[in-house]
Amino acid sequence: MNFLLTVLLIFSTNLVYAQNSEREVLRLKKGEYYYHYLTGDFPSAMNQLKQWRSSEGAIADEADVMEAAMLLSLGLHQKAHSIFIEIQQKGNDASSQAWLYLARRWFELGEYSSALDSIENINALDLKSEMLGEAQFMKAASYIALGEHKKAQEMITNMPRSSIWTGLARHNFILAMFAGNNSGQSLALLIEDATFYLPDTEEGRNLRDRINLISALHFLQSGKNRSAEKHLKNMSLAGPYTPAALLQYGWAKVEQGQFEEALQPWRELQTRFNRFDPEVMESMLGVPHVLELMNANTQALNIYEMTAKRLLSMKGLLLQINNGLAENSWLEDWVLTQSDQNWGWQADIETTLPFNDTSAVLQQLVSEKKIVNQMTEYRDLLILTEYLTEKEESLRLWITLVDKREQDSKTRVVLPVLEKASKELIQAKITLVQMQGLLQQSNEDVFALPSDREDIKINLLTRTAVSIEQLMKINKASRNVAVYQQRWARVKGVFLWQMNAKKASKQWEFKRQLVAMDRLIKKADIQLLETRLANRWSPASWQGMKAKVVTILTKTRALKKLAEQATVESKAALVVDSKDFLNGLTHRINDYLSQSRLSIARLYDEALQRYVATGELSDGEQQ
Amino acid sequence: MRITYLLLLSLMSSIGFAEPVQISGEALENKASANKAKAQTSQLSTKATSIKQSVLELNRDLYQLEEELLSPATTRAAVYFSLSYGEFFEPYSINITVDDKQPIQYLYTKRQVSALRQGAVQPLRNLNLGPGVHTIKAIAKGIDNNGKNRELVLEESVEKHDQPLYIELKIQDNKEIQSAELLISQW
Repeated sequence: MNFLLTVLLIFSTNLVYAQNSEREVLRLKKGEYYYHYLTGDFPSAMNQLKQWRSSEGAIADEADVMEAAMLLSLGLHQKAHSIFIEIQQKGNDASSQAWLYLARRWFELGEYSSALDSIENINALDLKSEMLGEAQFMKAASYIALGEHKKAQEMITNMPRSSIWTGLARHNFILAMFAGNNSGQSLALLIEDATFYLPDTEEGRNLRDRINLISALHFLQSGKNRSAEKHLKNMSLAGPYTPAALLQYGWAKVEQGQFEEALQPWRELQTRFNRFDPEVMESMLGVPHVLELMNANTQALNIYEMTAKRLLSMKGLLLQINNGLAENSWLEDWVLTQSDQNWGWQADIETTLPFNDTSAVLQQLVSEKKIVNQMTEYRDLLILTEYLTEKEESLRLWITLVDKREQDSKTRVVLPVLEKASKELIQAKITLVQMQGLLQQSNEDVFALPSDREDIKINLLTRTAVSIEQLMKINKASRNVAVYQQRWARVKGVFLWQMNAKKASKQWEFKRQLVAMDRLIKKADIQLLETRLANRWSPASWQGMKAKVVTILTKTRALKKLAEQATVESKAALVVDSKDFLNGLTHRINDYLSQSRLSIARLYDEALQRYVATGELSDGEQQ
Repeated sequence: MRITYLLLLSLMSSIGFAEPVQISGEALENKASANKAKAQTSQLSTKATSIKQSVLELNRDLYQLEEELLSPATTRAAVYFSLSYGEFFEPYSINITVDDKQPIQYLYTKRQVSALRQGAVQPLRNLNLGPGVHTIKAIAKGIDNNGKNRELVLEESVEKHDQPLYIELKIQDNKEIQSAELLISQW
């Protein structure tokens, strides 16, 4: 009975240990997955997820949410969507952080209902304030996008006043109010709050400029030029919205009849910003138009003519770039400037093109989200092609290595060496046993454990004893053997005394050496066992590997071919879009050119009419 | 003079209007080509998505294969590093040696430390260890909660059997002594 209980106890202890161990390994795998996820290494995170998937319960649910978020961030939103639907159907038990990541992706994709569903699963107490702010912003913005303005307003009221996320939510709400033709005190207060409670960071300042700009545009459209001017004046002169602000400020002044004040911002605009900017081009025609309004017709005519020349040279440059666009390396140059080597939506994409003539014209193109997505996709495909090429090469090297491992393993002579070592070890063990016997015997033996010197002395005593015995046998009267006999007995007695005195220390020393020898033999025994194990494990480094490598190599090659083809197609599509953009820009320039020429013609015509009517030209017109 | 003006005027007008007429002709072509391009872009995007999906799947296979090739299960030993709370210690680097060989060195970025603080576990390296007992020495360098440089040192033995060995080095806060300590666990 006792025996049974002991066995049961041992068995249950082992089982508990195994379960604990499994749980801990799972924890490590989960932690590793989070590490890759949080440091932005999504492909590695996906690898980890595969191992994690085999487990059940809450972990698997959380894995679902995280996988959906990752697939979304890698641009694979359709698969993510199907996982998300599954999660909703079977309920969920994932962390708030996971839901936030998922909500973020849905929000980026403009899937506001799905984003709201994800946010509903977040527990505010589980998130840090920064993350919570983002979640609240997404919720408010989603409500706005879905037309539920009251809910959005309540949400914004409950958000911390001076957070950037609150500012962004207010910005979206202001846009919604403009779209709904709301006006009045509440709108003015909202704009005031939105621009006042913002953090003093670059992001905060840019957002303030943006809110001011959209407000100004709204007021300009509704004919409230003074209000528009007030907002435009509050904008910085070195932000991303400065060109639009300068242009609109000029028009606001024109609307109020303050023509001279309108010219200054436009001159500034033309001096400081790219001539291909639509705002700059518009201001080129705006300046002579205002001069006309000021009745400075000659100056207006001169500027129209200068503008026409300028537009013609811009058009020439555009045509030149457009003709050589397929051979131009602007796209490759842009890819080379990217510091982030990851692919997918999480990659930190720099949208500024390297500085040259082509990029000066195409920079406007990169402000379009669709084109940036296309360019990012092209870059992703390039990275994937490079990755596949690298892996193909590495797999080829692995095949060589596996072959070498197999060859080495088959030609390696291990067993005879192990057998020889085993025999030597057995012999050593026998010797040890013999020596232990010797130690045992030493208790009984008078001359036990002699040293080399003592051994010589014993031999000498033995030989002397034989000589004395021989002399005694001969027994001549002239020889007194008794003296030798007494002397021998005396020497023997002293020697025996000495050896006996040293016996205990000798036994102790001998025992110590035997213990050390025993330890060495045991260590060698373990080493031999481990070497046998290592020999048994060694085929695992090559057996069945070649077939696996070859299968994956074939897959890699096929995929690489597809990726290369898609890269070529992607570049071709981008070139077509860039050409369309350049054609559009050329048409815009043509329009401006036509307008300036018409104005020139009109001014000449008016001068002609005046000449016909009065018979004289002004001084300027004569020139 | 008048004739010159009239000529100029007619010339200007013809140039001014000639181009917009041309544009409207091109505009129709452009619209058609834009629609075609849109369809092509969509197709291309689907193709790129499918390639990305396949690359992810291939990447998983490659990852497993490389793990098997580099360290078969029988000799595999994975070393992990984690940080529990990290209130009393922020790691800058870690140095690990196994049997005074196979040095592992790692320098941490802010992003990585932040990930570790959020409960992530860093996979430091997969090692190949033969059967038997091995000695692990680890030195974690960083700063304590007072901003002073600190080193946490550990030396322990681990035993390798025929199953993969998991070793976790963990920096854990000890509230009682208001300090952090480096611990090791193995499975």
